[in-house]
Amino acid sequence: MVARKPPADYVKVQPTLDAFAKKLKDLSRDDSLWEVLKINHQRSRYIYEMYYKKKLISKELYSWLGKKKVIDINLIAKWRKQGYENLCCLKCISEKTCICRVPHQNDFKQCVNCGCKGCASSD
Amino acid sequence: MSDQRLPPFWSSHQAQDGQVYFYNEQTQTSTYDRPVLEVANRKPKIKKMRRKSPLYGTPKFTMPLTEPWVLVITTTGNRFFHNTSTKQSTWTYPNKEVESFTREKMIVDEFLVLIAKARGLKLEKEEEEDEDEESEEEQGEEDRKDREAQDDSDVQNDFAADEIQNSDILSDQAGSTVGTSEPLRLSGQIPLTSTTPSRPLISGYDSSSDEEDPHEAPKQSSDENRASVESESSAVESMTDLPTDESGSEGGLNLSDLESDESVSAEDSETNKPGWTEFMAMLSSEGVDRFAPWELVAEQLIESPGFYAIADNRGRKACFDYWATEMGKNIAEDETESTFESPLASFVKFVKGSPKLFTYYAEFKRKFRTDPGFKALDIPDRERESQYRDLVKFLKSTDKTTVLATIVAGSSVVKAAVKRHEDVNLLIQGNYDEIVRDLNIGEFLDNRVEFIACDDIGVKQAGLVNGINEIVEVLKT
Repeated sequence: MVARKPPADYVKVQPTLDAFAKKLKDLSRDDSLWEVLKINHQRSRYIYEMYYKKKLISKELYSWLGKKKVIDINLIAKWRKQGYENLCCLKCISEKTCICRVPHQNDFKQCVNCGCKGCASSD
Repeated sequence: MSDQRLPPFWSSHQAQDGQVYFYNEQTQTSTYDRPVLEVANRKPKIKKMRRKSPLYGTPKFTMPLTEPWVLVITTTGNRFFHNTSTKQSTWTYPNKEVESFTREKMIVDEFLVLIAKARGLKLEKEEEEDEDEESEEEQGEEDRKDREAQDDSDVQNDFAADEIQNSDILSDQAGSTVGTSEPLRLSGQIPLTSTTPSRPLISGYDSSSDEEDPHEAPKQSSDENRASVESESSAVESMTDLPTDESGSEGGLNLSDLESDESVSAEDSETNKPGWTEFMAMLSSEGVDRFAPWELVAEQLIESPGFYAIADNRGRKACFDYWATEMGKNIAEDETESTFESPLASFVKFVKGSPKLFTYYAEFKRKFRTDPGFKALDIPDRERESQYRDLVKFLKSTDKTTVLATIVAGSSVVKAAVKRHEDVNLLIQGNYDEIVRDLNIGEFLDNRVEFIACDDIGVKQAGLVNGINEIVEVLKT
């Protein structure tokens, strides 16, 4: 059961999260799925940095956001692993490893799964 | 500046989630952006330059190029060339002269700043710098155009919307849905694109070497230019980088040197990277929100002098991250606890403060229903009633210690200790704060009422001891 009300320090991240929500809403039907995945990445990245790196939000808020599916906790879990710090999306490492995971590739522009241009940690 | 009435055929509505949107009966479209009412005596088509376009934005700044030609920047960051004598505009380079001028002589940083400003960057203080002088001139022109560009408030407040627009535009360069023919070939020829300061939130994936949108057709020729310009404006461009891994990049930091009480001293002791103290001083003085993402912050700060104290954008981000964490540590704890008082606590205080303790919840509610203290406890009415009943019972009882004893049963720390038959007195003295925090944070909702209601710490402590002893007694039997 997820609490309907956010924890107390939600107000700190509310402006940025609202901006992300608005961006998602503004996506038109013709926009590709890449845009959605990109915003998902950015939003999760923001909260990931706030919690794990800068430690500016509480554990309650972080787990509440995870339960509410505001952030992608599976993706964040990968970011905590060595070598996957800049992972673009989960699809690119499931099944076959995507070209975007290989460092210093110039032959491709954007990977087919999520539009990533290269997310190896050494890139 | 902006007219509050809606143009004909437009109406405003509210969606289920509270979001306000605008609907045009005539075209049957809906949008989040407020449509602007055309001034009555001005024909919408009269000046090409002033034409509003939701896709390309309204003109905001101009930069003089060669002779009659100026470069106009719109509110969405699009650029076109305008001939001030013939009053004609074009998206592409009008002639070779202009092309070479823009390629070579135009000051890149200035240009980028203007784009950022056009897209809503707000300047707080105008310092004495070349860029700022230039932009002050533009400011005058901007005011003139403001009278006609009425969407500014919406645009300025919402970076996100603009960026979405622009990214759509750039990605549509393949020529699919955009009406005018090849309108944005421009961005192919001038390698300085709006992917720079004005497109922070979108550009999470871009690496620093890839400024252009890849769908851009005339890419091959501009590769060289891109390389040359890139070195010039690398500072601003690499804002689009993916975040670096913090632990690696901050290898030079001596975090052990830092004192944790003063934010000032924290700044001073951070010396390993050049320019960090200055940069952090700027961050503090500009009142930057440490919870904001770096990209938004950077846009806000691009004008202030301290911003360039650090040359590399990755470095700036690292410095900002570091600063945010440090400030967070220094301020955080007291701040959060003092500002976020639990609703239950405020409700309890409210009830205690009221002159008469009604035995029946119905009376209490009838009297105080509209009071903010009553409303502070935002739970269903039935639960509030039970809370109220418990509270009144407690407040009316005299033997506080025994009441408190019941609370003890709720604390997991104490329970565990009792289970292990530890010396509970020692436990309480040692971990009093922890236990109190345990109880306050709400391991159990019911008993919190009583605990909060009792202000005297001595009584609390005594109550804890007594309660625990009682429990121990019970367990022994």
